[in-house]
Amino acid sequence: MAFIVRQSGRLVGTFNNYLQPAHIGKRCISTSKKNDETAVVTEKIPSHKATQNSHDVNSTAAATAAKKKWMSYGFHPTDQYEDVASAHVFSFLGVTLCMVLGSLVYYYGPDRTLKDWAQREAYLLVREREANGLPLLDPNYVEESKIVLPSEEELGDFEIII
Amino acid sequence: MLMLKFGLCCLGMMFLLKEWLLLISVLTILTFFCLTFMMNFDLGVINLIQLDFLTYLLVSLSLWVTALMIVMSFYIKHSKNYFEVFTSLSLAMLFFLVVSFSTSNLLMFYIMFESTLIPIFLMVMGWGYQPERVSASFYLLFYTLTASLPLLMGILYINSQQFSTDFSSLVVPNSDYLLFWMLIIAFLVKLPVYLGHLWLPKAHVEAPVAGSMILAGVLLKLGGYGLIRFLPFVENSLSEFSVLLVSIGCIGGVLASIICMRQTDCKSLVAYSSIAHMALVVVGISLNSFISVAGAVIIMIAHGFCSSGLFSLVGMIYDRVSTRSIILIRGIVSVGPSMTLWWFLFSISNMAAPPTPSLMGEIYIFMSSLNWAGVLAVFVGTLSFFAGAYNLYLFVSTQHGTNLSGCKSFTEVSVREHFVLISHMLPFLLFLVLLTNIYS
Repeated sequence: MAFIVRQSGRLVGTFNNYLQPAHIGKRCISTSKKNDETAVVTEKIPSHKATQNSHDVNSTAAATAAKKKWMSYGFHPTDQYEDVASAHVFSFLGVTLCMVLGSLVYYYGPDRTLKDWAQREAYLLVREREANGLPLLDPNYVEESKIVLPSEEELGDFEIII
Repeated sequence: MLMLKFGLCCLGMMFLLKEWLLLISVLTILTFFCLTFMMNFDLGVINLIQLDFLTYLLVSLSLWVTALMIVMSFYIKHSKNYFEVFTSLSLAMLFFLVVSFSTSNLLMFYIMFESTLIPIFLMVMGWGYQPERVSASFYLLFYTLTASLPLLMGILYINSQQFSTDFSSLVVPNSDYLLFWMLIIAFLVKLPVYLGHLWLPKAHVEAPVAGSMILAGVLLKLGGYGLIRFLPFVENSLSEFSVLLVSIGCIGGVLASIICMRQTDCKSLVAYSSIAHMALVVVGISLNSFISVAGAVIIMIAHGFCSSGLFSLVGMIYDRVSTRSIILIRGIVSVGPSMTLWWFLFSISNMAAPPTPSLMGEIYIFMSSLNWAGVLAVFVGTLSFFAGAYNLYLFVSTQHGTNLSGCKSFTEVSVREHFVLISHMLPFLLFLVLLTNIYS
């Protein structure tokens, strides 16, 4: 048990990188220098997602205000990034993959349980039996002439229940 | 081979205990593959594994409910209450369940059947809310252990007679009534049937949300699964005792439904409603007709989703107001209307309203029971009536009325909780078409 917990902790680091993309919503708007005007100071206008990256904390009022507007999706109370990532992962895997794609594959997939085949075969047999004048459903599952019953000596004391 | 791979995946997921996001992702992907590619019902290379439609349904249900119970248990993670241990117990239980539903060996089935007790015992004992959880976990453990000891003795006796523990060697002589009871008593207590039901309300009330979800969603179905698996081999003995079993099922179900009306604890009410639903399953299996067993299977699957969803709803209420009392939880519609929507949907599903699969299962059982004996119309009708009554009571008591001061601060249902509830309700409705294939 302790071994498993230690190993799982070591695996965490390798997977965490996949949850953190390199660039999160960094948009830069810059204008070229006007010839007849004073130079315009270009500044990065961060989106609300830029505040998640702890290495790129902007202390601007806009970033602070954007951060305050975040409400947890319920997956993590404090870490916005993990919360949003979890919501996206679960929505994709749970709803899109399992429910939508799963239903699609189930309903439109090949007839693995031979249900449709059985229905087609039944209709064919009904047509054949009607053409030959036979009853549609024979009360005997197997033809009586093909049944070979054991003799009384072979049965002995074997209990028969009808 | 596919089932063996599933079993190995369950064990392999033990290495993802700390990374819950990946763990739940793997569980949902496994469910997807199970639903879509496990439809080849043929014996694999390994004789230990068998597969048919019932196994397919129950394994899919186990995987899905396990994923959802881990999603509902985030409060354990955030309170740093040994979440890795909790997750490992859930995965162990999933492994035991998957193997027990898919094995063709009697002894392996028994071992897995008993092994599922250990994780649920530890969950109730370790993560339950009140001091009564000690007593409840012991009730759960000893009721099931005591009732399944005759099952082990029966399996060993069959092994001594037939020199094999495969299901195909399960030949019960027609007049061996003792062996019949030894084999089925464990499943009757596991379901639970009315007279062996005392452990269920205790265990459900004291269990954490996830424990209640897996207990109601899957573990009770072990009993039904065992009965259905053993049914072809005990048919003659069953015909001798079918009157007794149907009577216990019908009367027990009616009594459990009436007891529901007296409950003041939401969880206890849902637990007793589980007993009433499983009573119908017992009736369906005891009648031993094609349509009644089909109805029993449908009710088992429908109840798995519905009851698990109801327990998660009660858990959400408990997270907010710290009580499960029906008297204190009132007027949720005025403070949390989105939760009211889910309460309504799950309440009507629990009372078998159309278009839910519950209605389909109940209709099948009603048809077969009326065909068996007309007097059963009184009991199944009463059971159905009280099912509507206690679900209505639960819904109206918790949602309508003036909410008390303790319920004023009520956070809205989060996206995670909506996800859990949608994941209960949508497959529940989608399974309706899948369950019509029950005759294949």
